[in-house]
Amino acid sequence: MTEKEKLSKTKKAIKNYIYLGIFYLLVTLLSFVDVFFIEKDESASFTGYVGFFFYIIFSLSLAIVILNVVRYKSPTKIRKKAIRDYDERDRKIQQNANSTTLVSLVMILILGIIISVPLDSLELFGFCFLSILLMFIINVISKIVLKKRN
Amino acid sequence: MKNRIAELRKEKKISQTDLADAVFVSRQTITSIEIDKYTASLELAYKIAKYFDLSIEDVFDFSNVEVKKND
Repeated sequence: MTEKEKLSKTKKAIKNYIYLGIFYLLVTLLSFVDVFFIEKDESASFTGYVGFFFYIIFSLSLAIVILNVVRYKSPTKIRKKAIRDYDERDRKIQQNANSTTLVSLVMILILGIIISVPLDSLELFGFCFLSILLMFIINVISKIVLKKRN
Repeated sequence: MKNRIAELRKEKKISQTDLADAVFVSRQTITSIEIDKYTASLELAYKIAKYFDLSIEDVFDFSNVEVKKND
């Protein structure tokens, strides 16, 4: 991938983040408008646990939109993000971290299968066994697809 | 793989950040390459060598790399 392609892909990704942020902002705003102005539900409160999550999602969406609009307007910031996103060492580290996570997950699931026997839990056995089977199938399919692509 | 990046940088009075920005990688990647913790890809090695107007062999030490030939 050339530098130009990396920059244009990063620009596209920033644009998508802006759209995603706007979407979440609209959803949270619409839910607010719906509860208080359309349904006029007086018992509804935005101060409880749900309200807390509402404000968190609203503020995060707003922050994502503002941050990415500022980023989108500055070529220096786009370049910095592109360097961070496409840095070959970081990508290699991420790949290694992903495979380590996968191996650990498989180990935990195998442990789950072993533990399911003394616990006499068919649910635990089924969950762990099916998860491993699914992971194996996905792994084989992705290998075939990646081999064809590269 | 051993290399002369730090030496060449000092000769040209260039910071790691400048070099990193020129070859489109992070400063940490340049640090890791300099201290021989990370081996650069062929493309990155070429970019670094080109930045210093040198060939890859002039920047990176390939003396440890062996090739078995069928003679």
